[in-house]
Amino acid sequence: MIRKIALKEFKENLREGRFRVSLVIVVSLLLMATWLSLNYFNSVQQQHAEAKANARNIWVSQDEKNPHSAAHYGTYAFKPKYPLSLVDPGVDKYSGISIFLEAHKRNESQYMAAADQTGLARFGDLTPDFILLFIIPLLIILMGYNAFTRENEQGTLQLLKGQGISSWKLAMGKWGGIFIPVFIITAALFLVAGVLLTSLSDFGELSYDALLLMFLVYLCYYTVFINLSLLVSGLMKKSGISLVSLLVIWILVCLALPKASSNLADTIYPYPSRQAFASEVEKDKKAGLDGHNPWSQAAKDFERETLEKYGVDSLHHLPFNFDGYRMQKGEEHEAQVYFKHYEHLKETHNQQTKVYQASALLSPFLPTRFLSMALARTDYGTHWDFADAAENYRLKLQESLNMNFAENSSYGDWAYKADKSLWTEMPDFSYTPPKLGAVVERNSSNFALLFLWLVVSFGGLRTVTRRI
Amino acid sequence: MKQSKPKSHLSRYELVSLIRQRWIQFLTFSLFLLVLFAVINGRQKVDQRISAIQSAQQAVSEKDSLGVILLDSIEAGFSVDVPRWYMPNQPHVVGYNYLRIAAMPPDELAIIATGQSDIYSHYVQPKLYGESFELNYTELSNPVQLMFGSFDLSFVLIYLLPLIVIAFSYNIMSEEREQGILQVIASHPISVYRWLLEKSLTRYFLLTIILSILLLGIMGIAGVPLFTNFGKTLTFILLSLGYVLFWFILACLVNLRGQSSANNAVWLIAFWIFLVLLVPSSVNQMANSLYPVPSRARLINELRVVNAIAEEKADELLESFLRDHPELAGFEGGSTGWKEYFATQDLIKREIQPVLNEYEGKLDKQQEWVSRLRFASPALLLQNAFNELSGTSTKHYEDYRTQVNEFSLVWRNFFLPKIFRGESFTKAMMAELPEFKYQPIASYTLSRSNTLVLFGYCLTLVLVGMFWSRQSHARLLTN
Repeated sequence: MIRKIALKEFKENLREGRFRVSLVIVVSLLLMATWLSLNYFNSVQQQHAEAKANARNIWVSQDEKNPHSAAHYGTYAFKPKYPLSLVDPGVDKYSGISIFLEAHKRNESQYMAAADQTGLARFGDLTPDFILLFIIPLLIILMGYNAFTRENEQGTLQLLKGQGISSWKLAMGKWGGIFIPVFIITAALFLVAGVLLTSLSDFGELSYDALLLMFLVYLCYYTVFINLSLLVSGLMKKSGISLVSLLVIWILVCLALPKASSNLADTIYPYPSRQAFASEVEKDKKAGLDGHNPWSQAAKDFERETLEKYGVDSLHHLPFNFDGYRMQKGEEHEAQVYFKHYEHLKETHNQQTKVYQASALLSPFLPTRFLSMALARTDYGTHWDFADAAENYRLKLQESLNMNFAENSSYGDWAYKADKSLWTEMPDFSYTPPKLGAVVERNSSNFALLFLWLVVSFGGLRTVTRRI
Repeated sequence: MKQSKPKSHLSRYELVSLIRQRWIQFLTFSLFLLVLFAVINGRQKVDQRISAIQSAQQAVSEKDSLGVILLDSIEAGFSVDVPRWYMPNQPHVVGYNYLRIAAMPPDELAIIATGQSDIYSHYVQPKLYGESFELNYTELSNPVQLMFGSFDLSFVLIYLLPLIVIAFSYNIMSEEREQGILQVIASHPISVYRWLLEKSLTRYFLLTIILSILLLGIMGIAGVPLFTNFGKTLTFILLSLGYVLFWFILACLVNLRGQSSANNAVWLIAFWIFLVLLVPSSVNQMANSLYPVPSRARLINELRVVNAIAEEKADELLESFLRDHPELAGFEGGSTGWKEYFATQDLIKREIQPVLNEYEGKLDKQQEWVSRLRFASPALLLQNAFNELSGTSTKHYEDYRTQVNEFSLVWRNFFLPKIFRGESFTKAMMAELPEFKYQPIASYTLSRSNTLVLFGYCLTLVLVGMFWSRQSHARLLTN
């Protein structure tokens, strides 16, 4: 029976001009979005590959110089694009493309695309995730708003009931009638995305598991919207009111709440300004050893400790160049300072995430938004992961360079120059995004929230259908 | 005289019926809540910005006072307990440590639109040396927040207000027809269009009055200086009212099609989705494809290559280590070290400037192109104008950067002669330190032209309506 109703609903929708037009629009938008994104990402990917190769090239073609000068010269870590960013570019536009890795300083990632664009960019892009997150729920509302109200208005509900069908079966039939086309559209999109991504040779390794999981997440999101549409349609007497109520829900859930929770998160747990953050770091840095400052109290203490440790009375008698050693110890102190402050920043970020998660109790859009980005490896978490990896690489690079200076020259010998081969010996920066398991674990609360929405919306639908 | 009577009668009837249906109460209440929430958010962002600048200013003043005390003691011949590389009687120490704040305080109407203000920093402190050729102007922020954007007045007016207009007018005519009133009116000596026009005008003026009072009232209470630059405030109000008018006319046109109320609602929502969501995002994505932003990644490397070549040349002037640590120059090589350092910096700057200029030229061109696309939707016109009126557009930040660059040069030129002459920095000089004074962009020509274009769109819709109404008279009554 459920299957029959579902098929009837599906056919009826297909026959309706309004739905057909909407379907054509949604499908063409999806195609356009995919095509535009593909073009855009191809060019960005090419730029990235070129920049990464050039950065390495510039690094290895340095002349003979003091290793610490090379450390100051630095190099760039470029953030790779992940295959699934084609489906959901997430926060990529707002998180910068590269990090400058130099001595003494942990730099933030630079050059976010949004900063180079006009205010227009803040409206969002026509990317597949925009259609998946905003437009398909609208299509669902359009299919479902009059599921029960129409039967009511036409008097067919009584007829149906007269035939002895249970309300729940009727509801499930209607549910199926909406789910089938939504499933077909979404599956087609993910299939096309999968095929496209497989055919792109230089797009990195594609995780089919992540693609599949993303597909399931969207299906859950749509299921919640189907449930909500049927629920409202069952509660309302008139189709018009049902439509308007659902649209209000859509606007609140997809547009207003995310913005409001963003304001709320910023009010309760604000990020420090860049300058305030930098001056705090500077303050802590000054309190400890500075590799370039042999006159500070910290440097004097360190000098004394080193002399005592090696049992010599002069820095000249140490088995290594004390300048390079102090530079390395200074670097270690600075690394600790940065670690402390970035951990603090991460803590603020975690608190902000909690605000978003609390808001997710009112909006199924939020957990879906976060999960989609996370699975595409374009979320803030992945960005942190990349920044941490870059920092680890920087510290290792600094250590190798400083120790080369310390071990191959004598105290006061600032004229020491390392051979060019040293630059090639330093490994290139490479970054692998977190594995799917780690992403899922990190986002377990978002999965739980989406699941909660699924259960609650089914429960609500069940309760409402009993009253029909 | 005969014609004016039914007009006033109709308007009064419409008003009374709106009050009885609690429409006015609903409108006022929902708009009040939305505007209030948006203004609170806007105020908070503006306050954050002001307090960040103030506390930085405070820190500078405190440091200055300490500097003056130190200079006082040094000049009086006392010994001070400060390492010699922090001694403020050396001009390079002051130029590096006693910095000025180059701040961009919020515009009077900054509360309207967050715009790009959440992306950029609002103050920097240019240093005499040791800084990379490009200061980092982006703010430390959670990118998720940037992605979701802020619930500001701009959002309420651009996204939500049209929906309120739609809710208020989607059935302005269809309802009367569905209730059979339209046929009754058609039998009276008044044109149905005239009647529709008066009914719509009454509703429009009612909404504009409520909206204007709420906007001005709440913004006024929130401490926005509305009258400092009244032209701007007026443009803001005109833009909002023009936008409301646009949606009102659109609603009337859809009503003229003579379909059911539910059908009208669906059509109007479709227009909203199209004009507010789809057109902006499509235009944006297409702009990215057709006029891509020049590659920053490529620029980074190009700059490094040029920089490396310049440095090679500069090596003849200065040992590379000294270049990385100019603070040591004063001790190891006397004041002459500084001459070489700045000469090197100048050389590097000269060499990389053409690359930077070329990039920025390309970027400007791209943004100019994209800016033309604002005509594609009234929502874009409004956003573009609101950002300009709030002083939070990309252009404003570019202008600020230019001003800071100029100031950095002034700062440098203040110290260089002193350093080169080997002069000591004195207490009296502390008062002469150059200060940065931000010159806001006074003009708002884009907003004014956008207002005109918006009203042009309204007029076009009216003309379409007039043309259409001639053809659809019969359908209107019979459907």
